[in-house]
Amino acid sequence: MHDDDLEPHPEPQPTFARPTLLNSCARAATASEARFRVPYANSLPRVSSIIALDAASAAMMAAISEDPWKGARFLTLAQQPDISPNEVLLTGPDGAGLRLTDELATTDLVVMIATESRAEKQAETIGRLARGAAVMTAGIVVAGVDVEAVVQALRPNAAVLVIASDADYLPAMLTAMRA
Amino acid sequence: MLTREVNDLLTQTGADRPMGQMFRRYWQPALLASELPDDDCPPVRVKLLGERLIAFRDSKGRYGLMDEFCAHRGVSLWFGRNEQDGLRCPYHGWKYDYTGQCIEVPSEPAESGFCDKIKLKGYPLVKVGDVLWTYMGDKEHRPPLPAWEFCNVPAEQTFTSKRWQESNWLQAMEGGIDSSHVSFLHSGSLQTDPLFRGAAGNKYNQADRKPVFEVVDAPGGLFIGARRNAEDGQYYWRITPWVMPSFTMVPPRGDHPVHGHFWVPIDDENCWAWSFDYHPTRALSDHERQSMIDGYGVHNQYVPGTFRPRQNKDNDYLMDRDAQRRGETYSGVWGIALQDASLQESMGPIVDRTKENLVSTDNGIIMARHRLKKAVQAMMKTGATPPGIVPEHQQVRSVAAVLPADKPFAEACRDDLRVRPGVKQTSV
Repeated sequence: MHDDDLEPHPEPQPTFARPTLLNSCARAATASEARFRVPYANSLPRVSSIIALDAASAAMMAAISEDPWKGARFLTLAQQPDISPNEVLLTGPDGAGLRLTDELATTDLVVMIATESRAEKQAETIGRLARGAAVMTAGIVVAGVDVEAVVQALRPNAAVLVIASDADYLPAMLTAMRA
Repeated sequence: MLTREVNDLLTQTGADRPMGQMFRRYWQPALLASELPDDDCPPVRVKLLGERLIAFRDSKGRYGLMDEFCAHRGVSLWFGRNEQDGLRCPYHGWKYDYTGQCIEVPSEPAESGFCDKIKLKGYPLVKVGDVLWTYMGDKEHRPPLPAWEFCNVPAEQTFTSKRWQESNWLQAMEGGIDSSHVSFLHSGSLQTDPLFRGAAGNKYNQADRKPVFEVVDAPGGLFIGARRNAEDGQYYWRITPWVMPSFTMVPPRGDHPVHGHFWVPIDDENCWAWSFDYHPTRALSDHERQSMIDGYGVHNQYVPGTFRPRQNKDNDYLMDRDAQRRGETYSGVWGIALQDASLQESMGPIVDRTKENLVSTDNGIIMARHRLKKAVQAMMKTGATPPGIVPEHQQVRSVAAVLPADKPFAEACRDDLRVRPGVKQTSV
């Protein structure tokens, strides 16, 4: 390639009339102009379902489940989670049983937490049914002995995967996402 | 979202603020070496981390960075005379050496020792690569010199530029790790930009516009992987390293030079966007270097004689709605650097993160904020050394690779994500 292959820079010209007020041009990005941003809420409350896929994840989750969340529901897999390829049984914090399909009908986000790959089958069902219900998914792998196996189990089933070095990330992520 | 308290914690970088103290634990890029090209050349005003400083190069080639204002009556030493191993205030002739030590007060007898008692705050200023770096922390914690690959390869293999961005450093840096915006905002550039076009990997970007993200904790920061479908059930990965607090790299394309950034606070409402391009194993071609000078790739054009971009908030970034309509640019703003800066500046000088609504693809940003918060709190509470300071953490590369579907990218690319002198970047 030679220098004369370089495309000339376009010379765009502003297509607007000169602004007469500060807020009608990009210079409005000042701290004082920020005072005029409308104060109204820009989102509705959302529900997040956090599902621990193993005992260590459940313990991490239990450590934060009493915090003042906005719409987070903390769930674990039931003792016998499988009743069909299209259902997973879950347990709520009060010990009550829940069906995944019912949970997906009222939630906006499913976060799966795993430290091991034992619940690969349930992760697949949760991911598949969440996709079918147009519910966002995320997976958090808290780095343990066999990250590769856990990543393999969660990767196809979560729209985003985070491999965190410690459990602190879980509450940080939930707070950031207004859970 | 962040609470107001955490937003303040991460965005305020004055010397008395926790994040300001953390920034002061790292070497920071302060000037391009070309800004002080000769011994006794004119001094340069520098503002970093909310401190107004003056940089100069003395008669022996030593670099100095110190308080901008004369200790006598507060005159700016930008008006100073750089002569005979020191910078002399033109008002009454007080003279300072490159450390900030006053070495002459003409009105007082030399033997009085008066000038020994006058010293401006000074910081070391060291040339590594084509950048002058400063360390603004205490001597006790001064780390080894910067070990970034881009500034340690031979001069003919590297190019660095900087531009003034009118926003807080954090929202600028977050753009550097927000891989999901690339498919939209920069979608026009893959075909046309001379520093991107022609790479084999570009076809994966074009064929799969919904990448899936994975975020992996690393000792110095994060690796953020974006994967797209490739042939035979494999994935095309683009892996972005972030090293604390503000170093990011862009995954490479073909044999094009590799680029990346530093986002360095000028004050809490302005930052320097440093942009570098380098090739680990070969000299940059004349064509590549000229493209960078002309503002292609991650670089930009300037208002002549300044580091202010030619497209800026005073001219609405030369918004071109016709080019947008023709599909040449997605946002109507020309050039990758200003496509980012225009939007980040529009957020306001310090974006109010209590109002944002993050989604799962924002996990790279969420994790980066989490790591920053943890590091700054640990440093304040226990004196823990923040990540990213030791040279080992700085020995990172970005990667573009096609991998089997079942492999964790950080494991599969362990060697590729490290600097390997004499070995080319891993790229598609």
